[in-house]
Amino acid sequence: MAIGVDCGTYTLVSAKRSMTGDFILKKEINAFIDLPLENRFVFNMMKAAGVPLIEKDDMGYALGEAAVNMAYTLPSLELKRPMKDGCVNPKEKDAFQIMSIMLHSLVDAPSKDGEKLFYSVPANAINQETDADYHSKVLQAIFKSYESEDGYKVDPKPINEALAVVYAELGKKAYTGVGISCGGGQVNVCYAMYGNPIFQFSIVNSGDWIDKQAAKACGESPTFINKEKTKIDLRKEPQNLVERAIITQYRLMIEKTIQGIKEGLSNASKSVKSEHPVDFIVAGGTASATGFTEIFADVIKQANLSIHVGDVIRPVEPLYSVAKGCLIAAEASGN
Amino acid sequence: MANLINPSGVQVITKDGEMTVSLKIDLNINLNGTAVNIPINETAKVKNMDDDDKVEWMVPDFANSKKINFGK
Repeated sequence: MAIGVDCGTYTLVSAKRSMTGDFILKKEINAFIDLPLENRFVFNMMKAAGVPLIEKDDMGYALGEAAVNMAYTLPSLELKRPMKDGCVNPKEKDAFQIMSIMLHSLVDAPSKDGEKLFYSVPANAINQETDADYHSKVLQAIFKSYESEDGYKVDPKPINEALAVVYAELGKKAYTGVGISCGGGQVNVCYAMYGNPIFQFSIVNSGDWIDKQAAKACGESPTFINKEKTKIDLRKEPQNLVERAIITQYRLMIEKTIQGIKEGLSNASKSVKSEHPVDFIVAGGTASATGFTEIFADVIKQANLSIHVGDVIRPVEPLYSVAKGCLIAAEASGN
Repeated sequence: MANLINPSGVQVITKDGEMTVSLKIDLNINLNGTAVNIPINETAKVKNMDDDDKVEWMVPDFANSKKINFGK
């Protein structure tokens, strides 16, 4: 057995294999809110309602989707995020400990000591300074400190998240093609041939950027936009100001991303030739919006990339591709 | 006449395999017999610290956590 974990800026997903070979997937939002414990009544009521809560140093915290729902309903509450732009935020050291609790709780217990666990990491960004190595070390320390109730530990290894998309979705094409993971903080790109990464890079400009820009345009909070954008069909005419702002920012984000991909490919692919059209898999939470893949395909085919674009494919479950790919890599690494 | 100048303040910041050294040096320059004290400690900085440099790039210690009902 093995474990895969997608450590995303906005969503955490764990993947395991059932006895019948199916994926067992669990997800939660990588966010929390502070709940001062002066009034324990609120805390206790939330606990009774089944909200994931923790207590630490005289402070309570509501975690995951419940925290997002509370911040959406009460804009005065500040939604806190342990990660920013695809990496752990070194200015949010306290949040690391909370993320550690979230990850330890999300991971299903290993079936033996030293079980392989592959976790996703981004590549360093080409348009902004990011520190993917520091990010990877923090996550490794979190997973190394994990211990199940049976006393089993895991053997954690990082894997590029866009490469994980290739493993999850291009098995029938000999693990050859371009994997794109559009997450909350970054878009990660990896061109792999027979499962080997030829080049990989990332661009800071994804879901959080859409939330921020659309929020500015229509005077709402990013948390509100984040919720509203899940309801929109990007191919339809907008019906109000919020929809107009979101659709506009999605299109801008796709155009900026493909411009970044074009630059990244032209820099990286000088030593790479491809005789055949290369398929693109577009996965991740930001790519889950209805109509995203169609717009992405239109724009990328007009972009005149340095490699010949084949099919642009949306996985059946784009949010789970990275975690599935991490699991497949962990299984392939042997145990 | 040569004088030994000792830096009055030295700050070393290491991050990502790079090292930034800031030195404070007080110079006394004698012009036409008149001693002119020119402190140049601020201008001698190699690089100003911005907010990012104040971040401690240490990997914190983590302990095994008590598991909660998280994820669906």
